[in-house]
Amino acid sequence: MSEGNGSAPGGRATIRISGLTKSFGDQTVVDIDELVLGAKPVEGLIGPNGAGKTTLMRLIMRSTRADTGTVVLDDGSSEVALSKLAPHRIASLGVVKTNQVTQDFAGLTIWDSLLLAVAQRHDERPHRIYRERHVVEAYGEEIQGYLDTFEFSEPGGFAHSAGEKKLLDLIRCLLLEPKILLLDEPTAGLSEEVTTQVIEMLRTKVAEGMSVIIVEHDLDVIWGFSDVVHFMAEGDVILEGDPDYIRAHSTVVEKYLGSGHV
Amino acid sequence: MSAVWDYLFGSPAFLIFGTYTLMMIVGLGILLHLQLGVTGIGNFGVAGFWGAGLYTFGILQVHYDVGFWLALLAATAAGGVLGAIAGWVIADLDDDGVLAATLAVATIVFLAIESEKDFTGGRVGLGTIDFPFDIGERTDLAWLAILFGVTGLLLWYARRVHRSPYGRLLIATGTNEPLARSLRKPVKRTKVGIMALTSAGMGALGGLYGPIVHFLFPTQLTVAITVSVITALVLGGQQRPWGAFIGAVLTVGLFDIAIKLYVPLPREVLEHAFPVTKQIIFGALLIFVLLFRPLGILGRMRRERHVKGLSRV
Repeated sequence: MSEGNGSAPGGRATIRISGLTKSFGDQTVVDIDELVLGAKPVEGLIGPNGAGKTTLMRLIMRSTRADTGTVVLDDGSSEVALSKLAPHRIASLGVVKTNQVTQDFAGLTIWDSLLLAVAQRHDERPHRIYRERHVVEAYGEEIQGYLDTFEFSEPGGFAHSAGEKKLLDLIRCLLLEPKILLLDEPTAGLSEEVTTQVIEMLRTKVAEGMSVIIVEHDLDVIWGFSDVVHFMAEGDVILEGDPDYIRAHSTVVEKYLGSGHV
Repeated sequence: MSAVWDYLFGSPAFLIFGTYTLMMIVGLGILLHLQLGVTGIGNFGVAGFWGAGLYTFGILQVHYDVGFWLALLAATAAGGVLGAIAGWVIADLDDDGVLAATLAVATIVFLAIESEKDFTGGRVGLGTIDFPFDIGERTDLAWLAILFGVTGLLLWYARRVHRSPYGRLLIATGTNEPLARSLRKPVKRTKVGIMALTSAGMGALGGLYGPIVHFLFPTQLTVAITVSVITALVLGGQQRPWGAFIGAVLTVGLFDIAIKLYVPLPREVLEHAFPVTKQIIFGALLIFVLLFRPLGILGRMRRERHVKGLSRV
């Protein structure tokens, strides 16, 4: 593809969406003409249930296939059509997503799970059966840092609660050092204290250059964390603006927040 | 003392052949462990991959007078190529589809060998295949030692895989493919790769089996060998490297060595009723274990032990 010209100022990668549609049966879930995500460091994506937020994220990651349209990653120096790549290639390009529904690897411990995330392809060859030492030496300290920050009931064993699995999912994604991190309800099931820790951790990563696109039902997180908020309804982004503008907009109040919220 | 020795080793040929079979099941079981127990690929066509190696080895030795090492290499390659093709086919199938497709591979191999006449000899058979060396009466024993060595090597590799990033990739692929993909892991390539690698091993074991039987028949490639391998692995513990060994000792060791050699059954029973009864018991055992102890005698993987030992890896 051609040299990119749509990346955000400051070298942040952006995701450009054109003509993206997805229907399940006769119900259109996503129908977006044009949308750029990632121009600002943190962008919130809100809307009522069924607005298409999670499906949009899944379409970007190609864990769900779109009916039509393109999704292009522009990192400032080149453009790549994500909509033509396999999911693992998209993650390799630095576009990574946490899961709304708790996901884990049965049988893998917390350490296993995190070492899996950091291991490179050349570490995972069938003949490299003595490679574990290298991976632990290269990434052990970074992993230990996360485990010191976030408390797990059994750090040497398995993640037990839904909250622990949610945290593990987030740490796995952060270890991939994404350019753009898509967060799908990252604080669901977490205590207020851990939620604060998570947001602080994300702020640090954003300051280091990572962009965040976040779907979150805890609107205090959205208002306090986002630079820009996209409001979705019926499969399309119908409003964009800074948190204060979106929060006060009559359409948002009417369709989503309710009159008592502002 | 002499009487005990005679009782235990009075029929060395039977004992050695029984141990050959045991080692073959253990070897195939370890490879199936990497497919099924680690990567979650339910291969119901073990006999096909093994048979592809066995007949490739036999055809090259009998018809083309190819040397042992080259024939063994070709047998390994035959298993590997068949495994890669099967892996590519099954990569996107669900568990039921994988079972059906791998069983189909074994059926195709069996029917091709049985119906072809010029190279495989069809039902008449193919032979003879000799050991690559001759040291007199001890040749059998030397070959058994080699089989022990090969099986030991497979066990060592499987244990190392568990402690390697590659093993972790296989486990992740087997337990949650979408999540593995989201972490940059090429799931399809991983499945094709492990199928090619382990099926190559099955092909090599097939090649090593050729000199033991000297004469090859399609009846050696029936589903019975697959059932024996699966029963041994599931009984011993499909998720553990030693599972195949424990299970094989308790099934093949008991039936093909202990009972055959040391229980005075009439010859007619041994030749006719015994093999059928053995398969029925294996099938019942498989169902029993799957119902009441699905992870077998050794149980689940103990990854937390590996984590404790990470500082020592």
